[in-house]
Amino acid sequence: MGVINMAHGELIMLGAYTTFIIQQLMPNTIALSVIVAIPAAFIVSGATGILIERSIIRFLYGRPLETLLATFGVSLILQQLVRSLISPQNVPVSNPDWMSGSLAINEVLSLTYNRLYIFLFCLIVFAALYILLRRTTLGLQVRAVSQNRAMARAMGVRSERVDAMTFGLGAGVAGIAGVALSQLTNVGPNLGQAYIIDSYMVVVFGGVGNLLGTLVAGLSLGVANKLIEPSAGAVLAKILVLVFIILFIQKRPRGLFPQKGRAAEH
Amino acid sequence: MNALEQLRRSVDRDEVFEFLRPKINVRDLDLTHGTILYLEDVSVSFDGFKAINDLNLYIDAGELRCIIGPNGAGKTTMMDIITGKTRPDTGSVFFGQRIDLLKLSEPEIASNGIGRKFQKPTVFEYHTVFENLELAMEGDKRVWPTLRATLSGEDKDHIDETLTTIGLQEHAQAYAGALSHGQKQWLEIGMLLMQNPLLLLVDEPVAGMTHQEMDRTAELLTSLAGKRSVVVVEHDMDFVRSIARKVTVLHQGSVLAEGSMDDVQNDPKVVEVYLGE
Amino acid sequence: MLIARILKNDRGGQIFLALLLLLSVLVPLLNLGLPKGHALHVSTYTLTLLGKYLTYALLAVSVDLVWGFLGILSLGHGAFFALGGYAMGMYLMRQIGDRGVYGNPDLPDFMVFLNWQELPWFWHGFDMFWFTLIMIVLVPGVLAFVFGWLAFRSRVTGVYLSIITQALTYALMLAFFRNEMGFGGNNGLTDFKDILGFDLQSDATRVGLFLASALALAAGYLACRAIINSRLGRVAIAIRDAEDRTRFIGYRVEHVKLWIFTFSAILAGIAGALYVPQVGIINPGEFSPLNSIELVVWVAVGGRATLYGAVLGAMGVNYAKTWFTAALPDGWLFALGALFILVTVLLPKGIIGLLTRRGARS
Repeated sequence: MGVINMAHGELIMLGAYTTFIIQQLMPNTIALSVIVAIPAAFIVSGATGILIERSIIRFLYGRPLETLLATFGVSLILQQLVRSLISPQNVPVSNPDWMSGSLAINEVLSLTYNRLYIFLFCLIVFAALYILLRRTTLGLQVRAVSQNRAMARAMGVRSERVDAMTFGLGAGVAGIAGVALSQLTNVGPNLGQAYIIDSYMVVVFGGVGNLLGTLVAGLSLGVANKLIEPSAGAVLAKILVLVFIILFIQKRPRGLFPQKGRAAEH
Repeated sequence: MNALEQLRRSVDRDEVFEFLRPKINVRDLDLTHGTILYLEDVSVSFDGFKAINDLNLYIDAGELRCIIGPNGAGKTTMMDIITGKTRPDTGSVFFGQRIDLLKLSEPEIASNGIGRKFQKPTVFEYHTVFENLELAMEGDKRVWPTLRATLSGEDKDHIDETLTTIGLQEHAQAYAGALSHGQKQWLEIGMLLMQNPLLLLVDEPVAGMTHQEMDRTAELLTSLAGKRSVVVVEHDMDFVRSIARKVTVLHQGSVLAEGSMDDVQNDPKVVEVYLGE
Repeated sequence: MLIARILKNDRGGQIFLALLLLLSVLVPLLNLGLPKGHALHVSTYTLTLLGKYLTYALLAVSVDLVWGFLGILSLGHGAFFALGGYAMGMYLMRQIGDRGVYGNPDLPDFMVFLNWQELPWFWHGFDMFWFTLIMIVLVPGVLAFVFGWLAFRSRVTGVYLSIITQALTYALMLAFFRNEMGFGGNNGLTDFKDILGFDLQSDATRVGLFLASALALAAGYLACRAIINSRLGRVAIAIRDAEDRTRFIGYRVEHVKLWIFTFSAILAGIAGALYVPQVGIINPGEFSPLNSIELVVWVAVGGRATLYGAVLGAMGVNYAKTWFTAALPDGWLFALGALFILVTVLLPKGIIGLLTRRGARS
């Protein structure tokens, strides 16, 4: 869409906080709360996303650098909002019983249930997203608008609505990611910050506007990070991955799976 | 080139290493064969789509050549290849007999004497017309000399001359962004002239021009041929007829027909491509 | 005269330099010349604060040179600023000598604390001021040159470039946080005593640093303006507006970008070197991506591609920041966030754009 959303990390954060609030509301049914949190987070983050799109981003289409700056402002505001309204400290989010424990495959390899579930969950979300973009009318319209806005409008696609829906969808998925993350890490106002750079690195790596590229890039970067970690330490691993990406982009200035030909230039 | 070939060449005492060869001065291109541009067996594909397919094209020194063809025939891609923007998958492209264009970058190709006008007029909108011409002027375009460059009286005269040629004297101090579409086309042609190229590639020069402007453009392009070679890509058949001596028809990335406008128009293959079955 | 020639068509620049001159005469006079408690006395705190703003202004000018005139939005210029700052910090650390907490004449305190036995190789030479000066220019310059050479050669542009500059500063931040790097880790370098033998706490030294910052800003401004006025400057703007066209008329776009980017990084490094002795500390936080993005907003607020707009923006935003942190600490991030949004959506040409539009209308 020609939009770089620096507030994406904060939409993840909102999803995680939604999980927290729902657990506060239904303290006796933690097991259920996570399930309830998924649609709730989707709605909260999705609505926030639509709000951002309608109030700011729609004035900035086709100017990615400006969207980058404006959404960065949004991310600052969202962070501070959470700090002021809830707490500047991390908040506790509990794991439901069915997600605790681990599946021992053999003596060395054991997978904790929460990671296993989250892995499966991510696959499902990815598949759903893929089907949505490839098989539905909305998906067709989204792809049409992103390729040629004027033409799509001429053919009767209500591009403004499509824009808002696309943005809301992306934001909603980020919210769901927040629910998943709340089961893995601390939930605090800086949660989004920690992930933002990684996620844009994934985009740079995978190429803008390419779902498959993003998946491959996300997985391989994550795996690379974990592989270097034991021998070099977490921080150094991250630095090496960053340096690798800076070098990688030399070879492929437009990502792993770039669009080719004359269309890519304009 | 395989390893054996490489070995053979490195022991060949007549062979001079690339970096030891004297830099070829553009102005004494070997034009003994009368041909300034050679494209041989050139192919390029984008994601499986063959934009250029085994293309062979020769442009003579001093010639004015028109290239026509339906949309997607590969006209712009061909220009991209000559100017170094796109690298072909196979084939060779030579400027004169000595300069291998496939080994040069875009600025090197430009300073070797190939100028290009884009399909969409691209001028520097936040510079004045005068400054646009100044930037294009032939000269040392490396960083340090550019930082220290000053305009001599001669340079100014040269720019003024070009301004007159393209009919924009009165707009010399206007921002290029404020010009009309036709005027931008002219400015771009003027920038080409300032580069003093041996070969001009002109992509759709009369798009968006009035009939009068078209006539003047035709006049200008014809007057340029002779001293320089000019390759014009154009859709407007009337315009092509008014300037053409030799016409090449491209279709699906290769040459379909070549000859005078009349020959080409009566060629049954061309008729079929343009008019359908 | 040279200066007059550079500023010939630059009204904003003339006004700015006149104001800067006035400031650098008046403020030291009112600080040193008047007794404390006098109504017009400028406290050393204020003087140092202004000096800090001047270094920020120089940093903003360096960003405007590449963003406003060359079209490269660097989200990592804070890294060059911080590197210049670290080079100066290392010199100031060496000047402490045996006056540190541990009284070790050979090693800075944090190395003693980490049980290091000898000075790492890259700390050698920083006890000499001339060597430090060279490093202040060389370290950011070489990094920018190598990074730029890699990035521009393979034609990384637009958002991709912005994001990898951000990756650069982020990677450096993580690296400098590590104790093993030998730059004081988390705490950075601090507890400085004196510079060139002058006590850093004394008013006179503070005035000296303030004047040095003002001078550097003026020189940096004039240098940038001279580049922009040259044909190279016109080529830079041409690259910003139509990169391909510039290439096809024979300019080595990569080389132009590389040299201007490197020059800009050196300016940022000098700004950082002047910043550190005035605030008395340098730590890895200076590398944080937020800093680099924030300084882009200074330029955007003031107005891109004007240079003096960058100065105005840096001064204005930082004044607001100082005010907010004192009066409404929670409000600052809201205000900054709102500023990002307002400037991009409503004021694409910044305050200067607003002023000139007003001026043109009346």
